[in-house]
Amino acid sequence: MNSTKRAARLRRSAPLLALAAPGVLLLLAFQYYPLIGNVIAFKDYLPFVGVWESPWVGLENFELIARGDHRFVNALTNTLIITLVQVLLVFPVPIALALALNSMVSERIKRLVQSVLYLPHFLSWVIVVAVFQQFLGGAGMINNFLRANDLDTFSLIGNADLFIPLVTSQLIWKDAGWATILFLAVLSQIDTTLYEASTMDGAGRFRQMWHITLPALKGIVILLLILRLGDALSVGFEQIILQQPAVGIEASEVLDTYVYNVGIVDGSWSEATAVGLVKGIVSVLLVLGANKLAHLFGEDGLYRS
Amino acid sequence: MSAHTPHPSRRAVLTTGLGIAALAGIAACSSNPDGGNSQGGSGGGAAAALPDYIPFEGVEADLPVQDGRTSSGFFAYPAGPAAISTGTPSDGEPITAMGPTSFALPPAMDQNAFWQEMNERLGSELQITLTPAGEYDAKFATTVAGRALPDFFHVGSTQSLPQFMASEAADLTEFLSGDAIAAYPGLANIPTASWQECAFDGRIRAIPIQRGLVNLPTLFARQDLLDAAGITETPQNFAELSDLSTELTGGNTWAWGSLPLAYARATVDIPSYWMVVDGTFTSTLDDERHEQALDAVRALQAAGVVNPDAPSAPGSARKDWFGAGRSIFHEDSFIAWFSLYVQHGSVPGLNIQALPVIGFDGGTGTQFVPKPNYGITAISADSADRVETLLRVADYLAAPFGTEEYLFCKFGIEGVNYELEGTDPVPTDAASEVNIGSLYISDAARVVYAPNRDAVVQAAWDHQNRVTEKSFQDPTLGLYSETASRKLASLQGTLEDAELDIMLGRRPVSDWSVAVEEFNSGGGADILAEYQAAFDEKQG
Repeated sequence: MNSTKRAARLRRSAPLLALAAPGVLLLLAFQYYPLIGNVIAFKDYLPFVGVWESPWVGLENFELIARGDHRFVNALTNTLIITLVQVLLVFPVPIALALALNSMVSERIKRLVQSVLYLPHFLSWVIVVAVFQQFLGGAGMINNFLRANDLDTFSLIGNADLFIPLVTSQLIWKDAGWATILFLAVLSQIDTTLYEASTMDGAGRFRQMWHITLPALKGIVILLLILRLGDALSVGFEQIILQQPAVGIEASEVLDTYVYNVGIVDGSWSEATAVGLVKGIVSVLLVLGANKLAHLFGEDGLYRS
Repeated sequence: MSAHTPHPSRRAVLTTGLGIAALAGIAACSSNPDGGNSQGGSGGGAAAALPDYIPFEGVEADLPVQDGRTSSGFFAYPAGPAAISTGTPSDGEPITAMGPTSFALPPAMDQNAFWQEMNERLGSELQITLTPAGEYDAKFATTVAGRALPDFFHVGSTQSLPQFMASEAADLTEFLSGDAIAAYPGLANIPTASWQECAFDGRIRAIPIQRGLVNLPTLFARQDLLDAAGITETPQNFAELSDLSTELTGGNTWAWGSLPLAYARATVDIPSYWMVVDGTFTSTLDDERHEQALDAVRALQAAGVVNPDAPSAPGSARKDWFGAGRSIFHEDSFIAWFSLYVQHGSVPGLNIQALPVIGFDGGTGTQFVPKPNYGITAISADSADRVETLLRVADYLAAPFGTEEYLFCKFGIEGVNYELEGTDPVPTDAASEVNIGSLYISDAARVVYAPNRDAVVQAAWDHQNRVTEKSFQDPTLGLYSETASRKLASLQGTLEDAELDIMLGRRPVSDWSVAVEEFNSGGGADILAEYQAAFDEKQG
């Protein structure tokens, strides 16, 4: 009987379900329940009136997206540029680092290098931005040294033209090391006999990397790229909002800071929510699309089809 | 530091003078989009009377008030200050509060003797959440949306303010209106003009954080450092000021800790976005003198005389630079004159003077006179059952100059936060303990006084007298615009971003007119029209 089978399965899984329950509850409480708040995108929301009492206004709040409001378009453009730069420049760095680490012979030095690389990940953005400011700022350590020695100073922090290179290098400094962990894990899974066999066949290091190491990494690279695509419209809120006053909105506004600035600071909650909602929907479509694409190429993607 | 910018700051415009509208019997929130859920009993009937002004008689000023020109001035703290309160004002339950601060954060309660003594004296634990002034509006907005307003909240920028106050702030009318305020002698010492901002739809719903003329935007200079550099002459025009700035910049020191746009605008006589010209409420934004001011500051920035970190530095950092001599000129509110002395009391030979508002090409510029309050603080509607207790606490914190309570609230504990020299409390190293933010819950009517610094008091009083000769009052005082309440923060933010970009040389000066065009088409034109209508109605 089907139902007794199901009951038996449930009994068997009970401990596992119990283990998962707190996580699921947390997810429901802090991820799904707040989603309901998105209804204010269709309302003229005033915080003190309340979500449900505020009047419905249909799609009025989405109008600024449709008509291409200058501030919104500026934020969208900056976001896309930063995403593109990050996929091209930030994404490959941990792979290269992982390969380099993997090729180290001395286990002790490798551990040491790993620790040094991981450390910045544990600093909050406030600290990272402050450190960059103290070292590279207009009144920072290096410029003060240059000034004291009558040398030309440079303007990096607070220079709107260099904002994207700056945030990109901060991101690499902070997170590239940490991101190697996944790749190193995969690398350690590679069957060493493959390398031995290829050496017997006369393959050099380069051929080994091309035919053994990189193919082994392909799955994880594609998985991470898909996940990154889902985040394509999020390029780091804290990091950017902290540095926004120095370079101005025009150069630094991205969608996440736009939602904060328009919604919370300026009080246009509903319009900001509308933008956030569209952003969320586009992100989901991007992930699903990329996953589909991965399946077409015969990869697993996020899940097996 | 929105509250200190000489043109109407975002918050300033939002909270400005809704009260007078109520006084005049105008239903300030008639355009309530929700169909009018504002309460407030007054309906079309008469508005409640504002609190009477019952000045504290216990002291006599050395430099008396000149109406509209100066605050009162004191050379010494009155001897043997008497307490005006009896017993502890509070009920033993903790009191929560939130407010902005322009100071570095004080030591936490358990390491702060002043804070502990304050709790003792009030009879309740005072739990204050402080947020840097520049971030306060965001903090306030999230607190409102999270329905987590504390007992006392300083009113930040919000849409539809009258509606908000009617919904979230306790009605204080019956306790404060007319002569009822006599029961609260500290609050009664606040001039009636300041209460105008606290009335909404004819009901009193907030307490003013009174400043009067000590709120004037002011440009301070480190006179001791100017003297050391051999500079004795006051610059006569902007060009001389620029030359001076170059002379004073070098090494780790910059003449300016901020981009002095507000001051530059005062030198060209348009210190505000709005002005009343020949009896007509107008916008100055199309005036080409704005470009002149922007160009002048842009030139300062290009000359490298402004601290490179100025655009991103919080107000507290600028105060630190000024105290440490890393900047020579410092833009702040007039009242900061005295707190800067307190904060940097340990700097040997510290001499702070205010620069007069010079004319761009010589002569005199125009001083902007902001609304008479720093802001307003309300009691949460949820705490309505404790209103009388909370008002007694507010009254304690507003104890007038010359009382024992004032001495404690402003200077702390003798032997810990200050030492008595004569009758004057001279701050010690632990003076920063008093910056717990209680003064944004409720504050005494301000006077001009700095302990043991007669010359400073005289100079400050003289400065007020001098700059108010050619000045004008924030013209939006007492006017309400619904569009301003909904959009001005955003519009002004965008305009200020453009100003910053221009001053830093990222955009050409000619882009100012583009930004103004955007401002006007985005709602600025509607705001002007609404202010004009309100202005005409007020004139009758």
